Amino acid sequence: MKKQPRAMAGRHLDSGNIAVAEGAIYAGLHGYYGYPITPSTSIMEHIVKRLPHLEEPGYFLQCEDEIASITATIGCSWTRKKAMTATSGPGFSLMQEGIGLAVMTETPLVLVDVMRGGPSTGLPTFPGQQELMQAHFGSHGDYIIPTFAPWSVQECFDLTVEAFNAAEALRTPVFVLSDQVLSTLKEKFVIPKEGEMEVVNRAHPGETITWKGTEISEDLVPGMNCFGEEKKAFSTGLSHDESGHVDLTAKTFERLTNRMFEKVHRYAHLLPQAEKYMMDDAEIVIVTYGSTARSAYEAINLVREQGLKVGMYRLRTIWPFPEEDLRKSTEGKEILVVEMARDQLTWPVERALLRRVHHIAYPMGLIPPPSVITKKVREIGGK
Amino acid sequence: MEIDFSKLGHNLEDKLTSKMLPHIWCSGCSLGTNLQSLVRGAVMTGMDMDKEMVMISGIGCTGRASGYVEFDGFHTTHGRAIPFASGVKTGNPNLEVIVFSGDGDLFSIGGNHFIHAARRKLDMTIICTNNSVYGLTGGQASPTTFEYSTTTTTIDHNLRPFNLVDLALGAGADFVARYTSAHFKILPRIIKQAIETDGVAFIDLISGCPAIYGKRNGYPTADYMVKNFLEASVEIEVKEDGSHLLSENTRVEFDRTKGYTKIPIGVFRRQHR
Ligand code: SF4
Repeated sequence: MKKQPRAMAGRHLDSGNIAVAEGAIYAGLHGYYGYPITPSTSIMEHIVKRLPHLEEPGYFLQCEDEIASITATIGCSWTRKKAMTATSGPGFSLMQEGIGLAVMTETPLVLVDVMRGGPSTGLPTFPGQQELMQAHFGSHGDYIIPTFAPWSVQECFDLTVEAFNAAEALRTPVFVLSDQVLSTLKEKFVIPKEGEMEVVNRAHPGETITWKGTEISEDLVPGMNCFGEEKKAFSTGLSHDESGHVDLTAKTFERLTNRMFEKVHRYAHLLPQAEKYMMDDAEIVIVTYGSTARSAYEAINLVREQGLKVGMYRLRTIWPFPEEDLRKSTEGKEILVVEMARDQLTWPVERALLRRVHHIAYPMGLIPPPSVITKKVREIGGK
Repeated sequence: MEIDFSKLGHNLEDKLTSKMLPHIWCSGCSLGTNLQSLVRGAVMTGMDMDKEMVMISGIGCTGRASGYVEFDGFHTTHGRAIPFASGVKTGNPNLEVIVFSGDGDLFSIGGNHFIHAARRKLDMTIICTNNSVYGLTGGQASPTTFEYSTTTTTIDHNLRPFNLVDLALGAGADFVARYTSAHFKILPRIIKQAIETDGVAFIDLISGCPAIYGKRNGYPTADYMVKNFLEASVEIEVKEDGSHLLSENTRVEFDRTKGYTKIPIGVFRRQHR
């Protein structure tokens, strides 16, 4: 079979899942580990056509379950190779154990969660945004995982590349929260030439790397010593010291976990920033993300024609939540949160703003149509 | 406590992580000998342990072993040593991956991973310290706890244990052996063969937990245990018709008043296809 290039540079018309897969390959993916689950499956079906056929072939492994998928992803990453997995709803639940291990062992990896309706088997073929809190609190223990949310096929590509970069630069797992709408939605997207977009590789011990022009501090993100290299590489899910060896003392555990939070917060300004649409003169701001934002965008254009001053704060990084930026950008404005969940995005928004907000909860497996949003906006605006 | 290995005269000192001593294992436990057999076997292969081998373990008393050796290593979550190993092997096929874990870890919570690894044949060596109990959590029944033996969760009766050799043969492992921790003379050679096997090599390493299981089930001390292992072990006789591989001929037998009564040992399969 003919060898394929990493970067399929050029214009494409395809779905969000294909863009995610291409983004991962562009960013240097070597190992993909997955288990079939709707609506994420087409990511791995595309990967299997591409990864083993690259000039420098990668490896695809269909695992026995999602627990194995995430754990094998961690194992691959410890050989200094870029690794990822993708899943949806119930699979994301199964992966929570491995997610904790990835956090604790500071393993760079990307997990794409294509959200569907839940709980349990729920609505496999319909969209949801009910895994937002799970992305933050799903595994036991305190931790923070950078979590990005695309709203278009182009962003499925871009944010997957960004996710790999953040994972490598900060030695952390990173989530991409896509959803069922984006997974199958086909639209134009552009893949840049190799070298046009920044691709970051994790630091070796003692090496300093830069990401988006910023030097990453080795005190916060220790260089990673991987298997088969000079020094002994070891880590454990137990509390451990800098060499990876077990140390259950309060002092070591505190130092380890503090640093793991600090490294994400210190560099949060390098994560994808929220997109602000028509915010300058807006009296009402819709706070939303993902495919729901597409509907909000349409709704804003409709009500603007009727003279209502509405804007949108579209989150691109959900966790860590951009509290300060949201607060500053929405001072004195009415807030409307729109989400395909009962009550998830409202939590961090209300916590950031220290006030109650208006809300459209749309958890029934459908994207809220613009008409639902325009109606609510008119109600809030008194028109 | 500071331990100076040179004073102890241990000839594997450079292969063990002295920093982690004292280890957590009870005196009399099989794990010390098992680890030593593993390290000797690894040395016998002539590979550079630090650069070419990765030792992966799960959770439990055995799980701690990966932290005690100068291999690259990883102490995964409970039951997940095999999937982690699959990631390592596919990440860098030049690495030799060794999974070293216990019966509860590999065959209860991790059972699904084992059968799929055996089917998949990614090159790895899986060594199970099989002591028929969850030692670290205080003595609960494991998937290889014998019928009528006493654990904290099986006061009167336990269900049938897994015959791990039978399970590995059935799942398609390429190399299947069973010895006991008392066979420390031959074990390094067997471990070397397992490591050199191209595919999945499995060793059911019958071991003792005198501190918790043995004292309730017929082998109260370590020296009784070692004698018991040697006396109960029967080398398999290879039969042309393959009947030595039948489950009833590979099964370990146990009596809660006197310990092991029959342990079929040997190499049951080499490089199956
Ligand atoms: S509890 Fe049993 S298996 Fe664990 S270290 Fe002690 S003797 Fe060994």
